[in-house]
Amino acid sequence: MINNSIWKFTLGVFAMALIFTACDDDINPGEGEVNGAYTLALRSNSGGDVSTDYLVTEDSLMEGEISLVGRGIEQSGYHFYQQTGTYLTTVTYTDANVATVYALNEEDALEEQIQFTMGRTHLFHPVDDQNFIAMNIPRGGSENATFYQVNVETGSVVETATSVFTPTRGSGEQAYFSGMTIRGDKLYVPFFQIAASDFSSTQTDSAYVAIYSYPDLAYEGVITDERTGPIGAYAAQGHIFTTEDNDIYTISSTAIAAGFPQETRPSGILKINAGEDIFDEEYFFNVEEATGGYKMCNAQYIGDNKVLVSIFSFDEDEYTETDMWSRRDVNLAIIDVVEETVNYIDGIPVHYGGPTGTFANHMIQENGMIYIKIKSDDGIFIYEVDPENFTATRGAEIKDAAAVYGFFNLKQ
Amino acid sequence: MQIARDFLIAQLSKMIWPLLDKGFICFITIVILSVSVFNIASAQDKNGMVTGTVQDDSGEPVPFAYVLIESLNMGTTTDGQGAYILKNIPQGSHTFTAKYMGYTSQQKTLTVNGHHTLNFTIAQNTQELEEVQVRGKSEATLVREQSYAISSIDAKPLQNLNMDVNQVLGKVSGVRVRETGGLGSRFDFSLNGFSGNQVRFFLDGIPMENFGSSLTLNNLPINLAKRIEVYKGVVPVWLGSDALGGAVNIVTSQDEGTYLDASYSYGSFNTHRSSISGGYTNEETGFTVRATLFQNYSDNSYKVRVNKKRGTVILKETEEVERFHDAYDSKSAMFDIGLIDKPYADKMLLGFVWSNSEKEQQTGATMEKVYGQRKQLNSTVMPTFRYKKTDLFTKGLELNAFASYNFGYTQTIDTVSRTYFWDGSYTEKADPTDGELNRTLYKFQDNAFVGRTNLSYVLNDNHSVVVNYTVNQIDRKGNDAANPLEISNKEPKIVTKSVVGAGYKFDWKEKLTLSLFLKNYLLDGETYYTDNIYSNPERVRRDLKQWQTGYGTAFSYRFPVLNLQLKGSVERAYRMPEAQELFGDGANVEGNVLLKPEESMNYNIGVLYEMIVAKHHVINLEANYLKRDVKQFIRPSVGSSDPTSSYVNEDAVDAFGVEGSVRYTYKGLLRISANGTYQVQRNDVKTIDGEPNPLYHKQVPNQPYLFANANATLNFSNQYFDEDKLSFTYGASFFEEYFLFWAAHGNSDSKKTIPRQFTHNVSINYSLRDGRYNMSLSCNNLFDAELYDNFKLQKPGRAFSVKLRYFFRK
Repeated sequence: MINNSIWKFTLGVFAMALIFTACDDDINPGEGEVNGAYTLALRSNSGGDVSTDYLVTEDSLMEGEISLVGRGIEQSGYHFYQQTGTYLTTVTYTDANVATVYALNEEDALEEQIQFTMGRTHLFHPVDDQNFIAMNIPRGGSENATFYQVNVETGSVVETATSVFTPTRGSGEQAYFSGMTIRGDKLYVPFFQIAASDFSSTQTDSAYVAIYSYPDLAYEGVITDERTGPIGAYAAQGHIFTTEDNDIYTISSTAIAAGFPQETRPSGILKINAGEDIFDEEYFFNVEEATGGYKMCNAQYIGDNKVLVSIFSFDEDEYTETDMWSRRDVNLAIIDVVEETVNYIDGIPVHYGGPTGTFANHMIQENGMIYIKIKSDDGIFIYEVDPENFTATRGAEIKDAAAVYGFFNLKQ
Repeated sequence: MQIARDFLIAQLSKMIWPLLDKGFICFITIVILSVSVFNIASAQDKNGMVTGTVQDDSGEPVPFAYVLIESLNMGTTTDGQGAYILKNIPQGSHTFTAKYMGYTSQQKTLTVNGHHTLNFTIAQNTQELEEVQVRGKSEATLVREQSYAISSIDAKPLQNLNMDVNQVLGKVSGVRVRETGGLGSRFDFSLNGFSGNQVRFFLDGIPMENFGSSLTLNNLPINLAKRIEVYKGVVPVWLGSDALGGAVNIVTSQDEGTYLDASYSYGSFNTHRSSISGGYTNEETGFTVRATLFQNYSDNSYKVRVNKKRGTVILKETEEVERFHDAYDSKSAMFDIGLIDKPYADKMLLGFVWSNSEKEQQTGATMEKVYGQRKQLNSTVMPTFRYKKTDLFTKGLELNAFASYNFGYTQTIDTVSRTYFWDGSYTEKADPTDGELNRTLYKFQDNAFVGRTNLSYVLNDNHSVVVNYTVNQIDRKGNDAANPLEISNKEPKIVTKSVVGAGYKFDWKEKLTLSLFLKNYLLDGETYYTDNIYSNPERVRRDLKQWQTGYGTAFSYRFPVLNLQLKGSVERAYRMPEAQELFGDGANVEGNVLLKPEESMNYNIGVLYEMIVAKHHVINLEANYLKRDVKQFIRPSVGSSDPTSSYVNEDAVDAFGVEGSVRYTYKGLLRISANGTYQVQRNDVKTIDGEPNPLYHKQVPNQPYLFANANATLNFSNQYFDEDKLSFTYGASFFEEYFLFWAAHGNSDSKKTIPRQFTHNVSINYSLRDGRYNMSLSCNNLFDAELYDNFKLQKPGRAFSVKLRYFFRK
């Protein structure tokens, strides 16, 4: 009986083990990768700490669907992206701040080049085909920021600390940097003001640009202009740019829906003339007036004095309680900063002007066309924009992703 | 009445339908297989049958007594009424023996030929019989047999080992304790897929959620515990908390009387742990005083494998480095003074809990970020009051009350502007005002009050009722000396949470138990918000009041002859939003005052079976199936268009799982146990913005789903001296590899996983003078495996320790 029982016992355990195994219905992806010149950083469609970005390569943008199911190189957590020439650098936004540099190989597949560590950075600007400059933006009362000059081929990182003596220093508010442009031996960094503990501010009556020497990054001073409000927005990078004529233009959104605590100045464009370090008193393009009361959300220079902007489709009378940071309902337009004209693009629905749209790397320029991702009620689609005729055509749909955090052509 | 009945039917069908899925079918198969395998064979032959009762010399029935035919290796135990049935006895003359722990045995011989009645009378015996110690039900076993889905761990056999409460919990089916490093490291306790504050912890029934982060399960030595109860999904009323996914109650051995328990251990990585616990009671005056002090220290200087670096560049080559800034130092003390056994109180105690810890932080979210000076300080300063009175006003009425107030704080210190490397060297950062991550001296104080009153009334053997009221208030204050401008508490941030519960229990002849309960959760508090950011920027008051009613039931039935117990329980559970979720942390987490409670429907079905294979050979089997249906999970959402994150009510998930355990004992000599858990939490959101959700019913990543533990102990008594004991213990645990992110996303080459783990631990223990002097030697992670509970955060390798313990009770 003892042996019999032990046998039965063993059988029971075995049966249980079998069922445990049989109940396992784990799925494993098996779809093939597509190689190509275009790389998209797609963020998976789920909340919390189990969503991350996937670097998906594609060879065509105008047809079919682009998905991260079974495809794409998995990243870890949230990332920032910087294209430098044919290199793509991804930087983790956890406290580890590991940067991984990718480039396309002969098969047009992404291949890891080098990995290095750097500090926590929020703002990026390419300098040439191998170097970019990144900036740590302090919060919590500190006005000391750090620049990181990074070479993506060698992985070298040079740190430079800086201070900003803003007009309100010591008042409990501090600078939040919102873009970079290099002209000659100077770096221009606009900022808006924030309180030490949150993104509120009482300082919305002026535009601010801090000026540094380049490449040694010594602080030189701040210029201000009260015709419009602060330049840039949270997570924006394209709101300051240098044209082919060496003029610098700056974009002030001043919209609550783009993150500003109150609206006290019109949305518009200022200019710093070539060879000068002051705002041009003759030039102010009041975009709010030109559009009949609508403010700008995002901006990105596309060359030839033209800038691609998104413009809110509603004005202050239609704000709701939840509109702070909402960046909802924008239209796409092209502004000529010299001609001072605004032309809306036909064929693009009213869409979300959210954070992925505020980064410099959300669009590609190729063969005179602009390719941009648009998120609207219809879903996320790539659109081909003709900047001469102000028309657009809908292309591939992005599936299974919550957002596109990067969109690059690494073959240019 | 009609409406009430319809409601009841609707609720019942809601409870039953979701059970009919694949997991449930797996479970049923397990139950049927296990039971049939053990019983069918013996039901085939048709021989004689003997029934009867076992009584003691005063005529009282003796439940759970053995009735054995030793020559045939057959036997059974009596039920609650002392009755037994022995079937399938081969024809012929046999000797029957009845015995029970603490009684003399009685033998009778009978010629079996058909159905007979045979009654026994056994006498109480002052001399305890060695072999029946096996069968004596420990309190842990009795708890296990309650109708709730409970894993109860008897901590007594573990008290001589160098373990903390967390390490013991980690071996329970359905439980994973995921640590980020060595002693004192941050850990995440998960029970059937629930984690964080969805699972509530109690120390002797007192909620630990306000104890502060200094007094946690990973520094509580196992000596302090008598028993650990893990309530899965359905939590009894008397624990009185908003536990969404279950609760853990640690029952300490601190009770009345005079005793002393002192231990010290030393181990690898310069680890010192000691505890001393003593009590004195004057039996005449009822004056009692008790104190428990314990301390944990470790350098945690274990070796980890990391990528080599050249300047800032991370190389592909790896190297082994020693952790250099990971020390943990904690000291705790608990005092109680008061009176026992007085006419006005069975127990009335004033107490004080003090605890302090300092934890150095070695790494960031992965081992690529190295810290050299960043650390965290925690403190708990908490007066307590306890009162208990049985037979208050009338027999059977018992009052229990408890209150505490915590003045403790938590502080993060990061004040050196350096970048550290694994060899301990560093470079100065360009900005001298920065920190290693960011300069901070942020200190916050959660002043927390907990009060609980519990009234229970035992009407008679069949009916009892309980009413419980728990109130919990948190008042958070924060300041940062390094950033004095950071003003995060301009407005009041007080939340009060109360839970009122009532329960009824019906017991029938120790066979059937049925509990019904209702719990009412109330959240109260106030905050300020901006009504309309454009037209009305003024801050206005917002009332946070909200309430929910949960309910549940638990039943169990014991088949008198089969030694089989069936149990099932259901609860609609809620967890109210916490202060941190409502108000944020004043820095990176924005508050969300619109949060709704998390809500879950929890189901458990279980079966316990005991078989006495032969004389001294006892096998216990347990199998459980569970299902959880969670709505509006509170999850952190990270930066969409907003620079800060906040908590939101988000994903619905459902979960199901099966758990099984087997225990085998042979006398006091050998004990082998094993358990296995398979559980899956799935996304239960069908559509997102009208589109089908591609993740619908996909397994939630970064959660262990298949794991198992095994343990074997060999005890030898009276080896070299009288009353000495030598024991050897071997333990193994396993868990299967799992994905860090959703399985379906990305190409398979780049998927990040937490690898499959296999660990082995061994220990030797030697006790003298019946457990008064004890010494044990242990080795954890015997084969020096690279262990991970979290992605890229390596845990300690092989570690040795020695523990000495003195224990005395009058």
